[in-house]
Amino acid sequence: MDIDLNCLLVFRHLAQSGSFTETGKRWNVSQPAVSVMIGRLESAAGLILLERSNAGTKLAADGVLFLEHANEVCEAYLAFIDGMHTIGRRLDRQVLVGIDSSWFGSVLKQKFPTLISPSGVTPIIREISGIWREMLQTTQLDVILASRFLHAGLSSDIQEAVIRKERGITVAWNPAFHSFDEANFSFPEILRNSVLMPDPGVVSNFATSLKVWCEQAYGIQPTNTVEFSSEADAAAAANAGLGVLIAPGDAMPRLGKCGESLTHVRTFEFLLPESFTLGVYCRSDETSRDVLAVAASIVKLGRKLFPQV
Amino acid sequence: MKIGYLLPMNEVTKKIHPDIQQLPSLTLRQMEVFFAVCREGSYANAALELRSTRPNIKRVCEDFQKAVGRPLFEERPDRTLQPTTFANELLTQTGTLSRSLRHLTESVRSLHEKGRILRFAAAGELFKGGLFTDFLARLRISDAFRPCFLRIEANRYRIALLNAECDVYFGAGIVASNRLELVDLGGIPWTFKQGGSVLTKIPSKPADMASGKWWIAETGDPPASESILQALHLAGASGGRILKENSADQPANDEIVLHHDITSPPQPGRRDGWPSFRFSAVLKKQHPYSELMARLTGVALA
Repeated sequence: MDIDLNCLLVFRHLAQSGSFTETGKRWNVSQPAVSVMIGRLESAAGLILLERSNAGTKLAADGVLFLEHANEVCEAYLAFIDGMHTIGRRLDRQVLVGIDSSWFGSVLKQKFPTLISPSGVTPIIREISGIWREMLQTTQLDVILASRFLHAGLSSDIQEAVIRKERGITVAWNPAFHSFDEANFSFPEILRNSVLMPDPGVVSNFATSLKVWCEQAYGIQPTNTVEFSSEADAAAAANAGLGVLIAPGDAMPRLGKCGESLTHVRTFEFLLPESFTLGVYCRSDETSRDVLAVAASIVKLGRKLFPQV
Repeated sequence: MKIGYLLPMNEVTKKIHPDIQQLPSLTLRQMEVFFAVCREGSYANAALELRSTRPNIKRVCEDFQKAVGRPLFEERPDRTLQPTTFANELLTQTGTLSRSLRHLTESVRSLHEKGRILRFAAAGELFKGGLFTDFLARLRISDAFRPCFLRIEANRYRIALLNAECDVYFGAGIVASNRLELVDLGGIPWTFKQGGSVLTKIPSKPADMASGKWWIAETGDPPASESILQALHLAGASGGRILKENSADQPANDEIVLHHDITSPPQPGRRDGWPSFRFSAVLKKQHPYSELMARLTGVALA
């Protein structure tokens, strides 16, 4: 019996989703190719795993038991692949650095050539989205530079070196469209407008936390929220009168030109004294000296570029 | 108030995984061979252990090497194979994977030993006996399979086979098609009827039927009836029409109708000179039960 392990991944997905189209999309193969892969797997195992009908695909009797073990293999296989890539990188002395799409990230990316890394080590930059914790755990990345809100992304298997912390949140609006009282600012008032926020790629957990916070503290949700892939884009939208910008920490210096004509207040500075953190992350059990050295030099560069105020 | 602890740890809980194009193409066999070669330090010894040949083992190793993208073995001066640093580190990663693969193979083997379910299907009329039961009496399959029987009407046997609703379909007048495989199980004898009752004085050969005064009752796929009509013409009969079910076109009382007789056992050849519908077993090409085809063909020849 010879089993193509990629066929197992496709089978598992098909068994769980029941849809050839969905499975093809997830694994980036055509629908007929999914059929062929399932056929190959059934022939290899000498078992009928799936029954197809117009109503959808369901597991055959033998398929149920097979799936149980296939699940186990799939998990082990994906972990093996990640492990294999990590070994390869270690031998080549490559360190994969994930940098988020925050303002800090883009500044650091520009200054990256000035990074002093140990000789023979090649740090490689990768874009990341809001789910970098899993990417570290599965060894798809070695070092992450990211902004986080509250405790997002922290767990015992990840270590953090803080570059900078900021208090509270920034609320900013275009005075031509909104007339909030800066001196006696009332936060719930702004929730009746469209709320413009950075998305998880910029700062993980911000939008979700804010919604939970509104619910817990005021018993209301913002009428409408829009997430942007950068704080500057969100500020440009606020400028155009599309809503009120809410961003973590002290956002104004990061907005550049887009922020100039906005009125802003800082709020929750005492309630959330460490709401926003820019940090460098790697696995707690990291043993590679190359990875730790690259992480340390990114922390050093970050602290030079973004000193704590 | 520590609201941080009330919040989800991450925005998205879904894990990131690569797609098929980004994954190396690894197989169970490659893993087995890789372990064996690491253990034995030679292709030839690994081949002995895995009951294969040296060139085969070497080829599988090279495929694996290509898939992982790095050299796995170096040849020592004494021609034994030394795993590279990469291969050695890779070995330390394989524990969970090889354990889970062993569980999978064992469960597949136990399903085979328990006997896999084999779903035979036929149209309702075949369950009346004769033709079908005679065949089943000769079919030996209970050592590998647990057979069960489904009734699937002739108009949807193709879709039922392709959808894996059943494994083998038995029928009369089945025509070959490109995704299905056909096993010929013999000719089906004719019953001759005239005016609704069975004819006792049967014409001895097709040419003896009065020209244009006979019909054949259609069964199975329509082209089958057409080709039988042609074969009867070649055998000397002239005229003749196909009697379709529910058709307004009905034979007159003095005309003969040839019906396929499913109550008698099939006839291996065409020894009586009457071309007739064939009794066949149909299954999906490359059916997962690879030994099935051979079993069916075996009975057909017997």
